[in-house]
Amino acid sequence: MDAEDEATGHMIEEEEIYVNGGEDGDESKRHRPIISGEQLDIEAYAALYTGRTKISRLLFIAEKCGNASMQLDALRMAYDEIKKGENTQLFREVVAKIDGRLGPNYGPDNAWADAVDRRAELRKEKLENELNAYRTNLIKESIRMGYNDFGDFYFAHGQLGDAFKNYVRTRDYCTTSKHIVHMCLNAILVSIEMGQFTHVTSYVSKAEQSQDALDSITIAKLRCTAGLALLEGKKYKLAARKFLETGPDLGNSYTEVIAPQDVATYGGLCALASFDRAELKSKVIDNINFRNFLELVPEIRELINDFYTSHYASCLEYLGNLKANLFLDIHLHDHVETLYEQIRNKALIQYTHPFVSVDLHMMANAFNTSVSSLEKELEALITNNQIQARIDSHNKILYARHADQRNATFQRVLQTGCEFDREFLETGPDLGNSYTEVIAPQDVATYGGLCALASFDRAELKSKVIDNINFRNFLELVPEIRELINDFYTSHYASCLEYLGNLKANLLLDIHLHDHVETLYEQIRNKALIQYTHPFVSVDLHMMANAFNTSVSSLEKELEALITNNQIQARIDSHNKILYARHADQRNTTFQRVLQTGCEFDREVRSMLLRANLIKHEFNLKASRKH
Amino acid sequence: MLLEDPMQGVAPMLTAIRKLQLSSEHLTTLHPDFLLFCLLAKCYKPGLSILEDDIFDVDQPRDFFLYCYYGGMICIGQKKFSKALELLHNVVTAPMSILNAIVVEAYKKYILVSLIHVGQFSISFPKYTSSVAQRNLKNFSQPYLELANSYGAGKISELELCVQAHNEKFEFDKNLGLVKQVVSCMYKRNIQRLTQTYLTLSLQDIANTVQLNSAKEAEMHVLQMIQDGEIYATINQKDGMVRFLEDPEQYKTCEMIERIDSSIQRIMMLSRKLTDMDEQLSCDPLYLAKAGKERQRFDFDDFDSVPSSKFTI
Repeated sequence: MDAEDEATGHMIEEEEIYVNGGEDGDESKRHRPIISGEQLDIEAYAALYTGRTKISRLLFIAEKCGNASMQLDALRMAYDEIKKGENTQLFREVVAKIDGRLGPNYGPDNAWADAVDRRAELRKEKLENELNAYRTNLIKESIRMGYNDFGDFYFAHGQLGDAFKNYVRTRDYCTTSKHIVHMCLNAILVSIEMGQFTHVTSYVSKAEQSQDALDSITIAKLRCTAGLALLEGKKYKLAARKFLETGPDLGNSYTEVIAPQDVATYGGLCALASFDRAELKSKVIDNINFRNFLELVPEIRELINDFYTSHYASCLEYLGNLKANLFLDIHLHDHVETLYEQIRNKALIQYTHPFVSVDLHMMANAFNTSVSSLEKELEALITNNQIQARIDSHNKILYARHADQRNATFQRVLQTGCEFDREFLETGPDLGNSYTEVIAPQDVATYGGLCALASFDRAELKSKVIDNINFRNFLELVPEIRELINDFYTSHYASCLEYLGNLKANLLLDIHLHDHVETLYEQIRNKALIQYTHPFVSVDLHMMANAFNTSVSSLEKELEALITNNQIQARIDSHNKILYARHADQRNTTFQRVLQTGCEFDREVRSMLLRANLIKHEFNLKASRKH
Repeated sequence: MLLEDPMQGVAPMLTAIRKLQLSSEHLTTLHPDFLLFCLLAKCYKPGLSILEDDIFDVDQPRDFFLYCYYGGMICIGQKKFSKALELLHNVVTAPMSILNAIVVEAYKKYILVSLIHVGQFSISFPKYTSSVAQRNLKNFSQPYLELANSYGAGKISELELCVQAHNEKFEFDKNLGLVKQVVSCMYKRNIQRLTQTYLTLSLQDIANTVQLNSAKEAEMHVLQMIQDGEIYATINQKDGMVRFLEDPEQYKTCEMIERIDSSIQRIMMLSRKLTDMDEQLSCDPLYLAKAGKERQRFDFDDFDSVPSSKFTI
């Protein structure tokens, strides 16, 4: 495209020291891997896109990247791009951001801005007159074109809301399905720029309804945008599926929204984070269509292959390299963390899956991490029931385990305070400060948080407290409680109990809470102890004492109490200071119970028969003299 | 009996009983006397053999009380605490309209034996105990109830204090021996509780937890308990450690199966007896009279064979 080449030629002239790519101006550049381990090559990256999205992406990079040189580079390119268009609002913003750092050529060009504005006014008037004329003549096609032109006009000038409105108005005047598809595509474009992905989804489905007007390129475009919308909605599995279904005909025809490299990246990462092995193989690795896309981003291809063939260390290394650049991507940046976490967890789960026992040292090598951090991660996965296994912390081995009959150890704790805190958690955020003659919103947070922590099990704690948006407002008022709950959930017991200790003195002064503080604290502490021991077959008491910031002997006493109350099924090896989990042998206990019941029955019935006999003879015993 | 030589009377009594009994389940007047002989002669074995028979048929209630009481004492002497508990339980819960001395003494022993055998004692009586017993028994056995309370608290020192305080009473009732057994049982129970929590424990720790004086004493106790089959453990003398093991019973042997089988047979026989008794009671005129009084006079639904007027007494 002319504008493209002009831009690159312009850059070569300037000879900016900010250029950190290689030689530019060759056609193959478009197919070179853009997202690589080195710092993002902004020019090459920007060259993938056209139109407004190019500007948005450059501005995003400028905002998010860490170093000033990259920032200025991006701003410079944005400036150039904007000057080619007619968006004076955006122009002023960029100028303000540049702040004169790029020299006089990149300063506020008011002459140009005014000229553009004047032209815009004229054009707008012209369009309006035309439109009115068409409307009086009631020629549908012309009216449609008129609104379309209006939409384009507003879009070019950055008034996205008006653009959207006008595009949507053309719907009434669409006569053929081709028109409808055209309208949908425009609406989708504007919605993506506005960031309103619900509209995207609805217009995609509307466009897909008119099957006859869809050529393969349009279908590919629609699939991409659908995938993009799902990605924004955090539905990674569905997004992956949509991206993978995108045909290779997309090519470079949709660069005002998305580049084919992005399709590969988004699709690959989402698939890796959410597909199971079979789907990964059939839909990604063996997918011929998608292979074209993957060629554009060989790191993603390597990454996926490594994962499938269980070379986790190199897979995670690729991921690490890509991470910095992915943060600069306008659509992906707030999903990077989640996707990475899911991929890592899947790698861990997949690693342990075929084994009965796994040596944690070997596993730590394979994942290029230390044994203790690996243990923490595995602990989290086991607690969330994603791996059925138990850790032998003494010998550092992971043993696969089938689900055991463990009684719910939180029964007693659940009963206390259950009703009390449920009321609190359902308090809507509207409470605010309107009930201060009884309670302050901080109290709602404190009472609710502490009671929930003392009595909920893990699943409830996550769904009703941590993921509860309403309650989050309350928790913001008392950040210690929020930190405390998060620490508890992520098993950082020492800091959680430290927070609790700090709060204690103040809580004892609270008129409602003071006589419950001790009980609640005890319950929270017990729950922490129980949760700590839950995923392990054996636990070294020294480590546990460190985690809980207490001495081994006092820990032993606490554990003894919990075991006696049947809240932990384990036994203590006091000689070596190890706690061993103990699973009730169902068969033997059943036999024991049976024999016992038999004996009791025997005894009871005999007594009963005896008594009945006595009554039957109808005796009256007179008080006889003492022997 | 008058010859002060109960030993001679044992054997003839035994034969007499066997001859007099209508069936092995029948309690004759001779039974308690025989048991008294056994007690006085201190030869318990024949007494036990008589006690093995289940009694279902009783002529005289006084015989029954005495029989159970003496039987309980014999069983205690032979350390068959479960049988003793059963017999004493029968005495305490027997139907009676007036309290008598035998029941009071039996209750005291009952408390002690249940502490020894089961490790706990519940103050509440079962539902079928006569109201007379329920109301009055407690008044007569105050020191024993206190003993039971302090046993429940689990501290040896408190228990000893209690024993000291009521020493004379216990001696007067001739129960001091039993009380001493209760105290020694306390240690055993505490050690047993430890097996639930610990896999390995040092002897010194055991001594500390159970409030014994030294590790040597603890070792003695544990050894005794292992020999009695009350716990499963191994003592490592080198480290001074005790390792608690699980019950090795796998319930897979032939003996176990036989045992279960015989239990089933017994229970089947018992339930047959129960049904018989039930049938007999239903036909008993007294019962029907009482039941008849409580029914509606004009009950059109059940026009079966019991018009209520015929049985009012």
